[in-house]
Amino acid sequence: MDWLKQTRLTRLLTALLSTVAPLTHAEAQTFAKVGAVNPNAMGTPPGGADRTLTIGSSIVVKERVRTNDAGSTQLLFPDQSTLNLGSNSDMVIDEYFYNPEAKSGSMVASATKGALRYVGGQISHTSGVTITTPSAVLGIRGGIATILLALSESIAQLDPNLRGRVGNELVINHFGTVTIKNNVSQVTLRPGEATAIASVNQPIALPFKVTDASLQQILRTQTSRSGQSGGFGGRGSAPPGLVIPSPPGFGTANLANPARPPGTDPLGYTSVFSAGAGVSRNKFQTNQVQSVVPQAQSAMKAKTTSPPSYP
Amino acid sequence: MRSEARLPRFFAGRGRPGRILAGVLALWLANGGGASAQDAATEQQRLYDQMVRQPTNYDATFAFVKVATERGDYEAAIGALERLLFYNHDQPLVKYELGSLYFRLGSYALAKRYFLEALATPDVDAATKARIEASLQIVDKQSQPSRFSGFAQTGLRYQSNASFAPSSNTVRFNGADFGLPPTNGGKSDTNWFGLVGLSHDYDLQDQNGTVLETRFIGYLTQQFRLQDLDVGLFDVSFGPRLSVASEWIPGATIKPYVVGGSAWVDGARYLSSGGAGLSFAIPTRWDATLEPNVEWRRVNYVTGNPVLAEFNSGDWLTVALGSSLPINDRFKLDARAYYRRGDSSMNFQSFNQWAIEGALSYEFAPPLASIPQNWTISPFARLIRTSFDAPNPFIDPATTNAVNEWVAGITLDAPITTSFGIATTIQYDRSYSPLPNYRQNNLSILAGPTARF
Repeated sequence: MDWLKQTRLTRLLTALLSTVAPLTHAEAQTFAKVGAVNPNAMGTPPGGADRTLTIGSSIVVKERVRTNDAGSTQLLFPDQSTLNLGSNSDMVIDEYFYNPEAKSGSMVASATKGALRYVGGQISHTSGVTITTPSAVLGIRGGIATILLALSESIAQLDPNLRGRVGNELVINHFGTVTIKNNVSQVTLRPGEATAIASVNQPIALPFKVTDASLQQILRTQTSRSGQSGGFGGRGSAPPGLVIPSPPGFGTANLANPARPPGTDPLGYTSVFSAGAGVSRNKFQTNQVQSVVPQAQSAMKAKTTSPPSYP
Repeated sequence: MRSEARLPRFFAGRGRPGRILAGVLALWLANGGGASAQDAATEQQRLYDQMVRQPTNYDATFAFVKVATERGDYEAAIGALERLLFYNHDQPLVKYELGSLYFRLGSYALAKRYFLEALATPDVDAATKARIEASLQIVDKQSQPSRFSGFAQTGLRYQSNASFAPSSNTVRFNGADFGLPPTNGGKSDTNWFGLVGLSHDYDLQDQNGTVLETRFIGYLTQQFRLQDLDVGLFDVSFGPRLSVASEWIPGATIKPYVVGGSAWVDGARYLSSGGAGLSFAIPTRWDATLEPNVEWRRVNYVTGNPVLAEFNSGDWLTVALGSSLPINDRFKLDARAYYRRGDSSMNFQSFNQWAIEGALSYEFAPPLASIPQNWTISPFARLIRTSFDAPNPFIDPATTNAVNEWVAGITLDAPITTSFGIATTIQYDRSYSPLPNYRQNNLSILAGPTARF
């Protein structure tokens, strides 16, 4: 937690000093760590020189992060969200603030090119995350989203919905809600939906679904390629025979069928039997009363025919 | 005001079980459940901090994934596992786990992709392969715009008091108590039953996320001895589910619907009903979905005596709130409460009804690794209070009926294959009333094979 405490302390000091001095140090706040990296990925802090990112590198606010043709990286944020950057990406985290006590904050990023996948954490669960691209502004609530800047010919040809959209920005919502706005339109994506944006002044395409073949290619742009090891052991390529042993029981989860027809939840199931019993009980309780009517009639008859009693 | 005055009595119950349930609930709310959830959250944060300090420490990463998954924080687990794929892309179990995490989020396209990636890995083992193939079938079905699913069970049900006789074998009529004739006394019996639940969703795939939902439930019994107790019923509803306020509450939906049903006893139609309702689904930050619902129904009783039928027939207005809270990846709490106002032409048949029910489901691995679905055991409890507006002059002109019924039991759902399994339930019902007619108890045990598709 040291890195987070440092961030909050720095922020506090910055706020206190801001009344007497310009915000010279505010931009140097550390907010993210590099969790994996394939060369070459570069970071350029505001006002600083280019530096090569390695596992454990700190990213400061407004630092520009770029990857080259073979590069990719994953950034870890204090709210437990992650951002995968694929090859030939270029982006800046313009603003990041997270309050762990309130489990809320804000994140604003701008991306100009490449392939990104954002997997949400506490911030996107509460207030939402904003990512600006050349053609639109994305609001992510939830949420997991993939962004391609821009769509390549090799991916577009795999998908009828993507043909004719080469060069467009592609946004896929995997979970949660993604709202995309530009100068002329707004589209909200539900989980599993995608859209394409040609430019900031053209209407955003109506939601569609991407094929598995195109998703396969998109996924490959956001992780290690064959022979890469994400910086494991400080190496640029996978060490021979690298094995990551998983613990016992890992990867053996049985998945429940998400379809819930009536009667499959415990309350619905038991209430069916109760409803059946309720119907027959109503009828039988009426029958029981009717069964004592002769007794009641006899009792009344006996009462009316018996001689009056005197105290 | 009337309902507020009666609520404490409802929770206190007239019997010990009501007080016990209220006590357990209060204790849980006071401390227990919340403390362990807080501990797990703290542990997840501790492991996350360790993972950030040592990203390549895969032991810490797996430990983090385990805690996050158990807490239902699937996104956090996804981020960590995708980092492991950066380090080594040929990990079938990591890919399967990623597929299962996306599956649980309902992100079926990515779930399918990771399952297929795991299958394509050369050293995927046979058990993982079987699990993947079973999951892929479900994914393909869930990815279709038209989704049809069903549940069915048949079996035997034993009831200790199948004839719903009063515990005292006494019935009040016209203000006096009479012993029930032996022909109408308490009798145990066993029945054959059949239960079918069907659902069909048609996703219009429009910008509003409209899904046309059709639901059907049918139930049929045949008694071995008390054949005039044979029951049949069905209920069907239809309506569009639409996204609402998605910018402020992602995932929130509203569903107007029409509903209708009918019931038979001993081969003769006993009642029919029809109406309309409005239900909402509101996701919360605790992963629980709140489901408020309001429904109106016209209920018509059909008996041999039209006058008696008129006494019972009326309008029912029900306001309900239900929720399903995943406590972690093993425990889930289903809860529902409702208030119902029943208005009939005779005030002694008009009623106010309050109910609260809950089921705590525990999902666990089946005894054999070859069984591809977890088993679930669910203790449940239900309390229903029904207060009538006036004394029934035929029963007791001086006593207004108010029935407290509580039900407690446990169900075991034991799938054997993806489609077939066995389910069993043990349930005990007890009713309290100022009138002896409605004081009852009943133990029921049911078991039988189940099918799901």
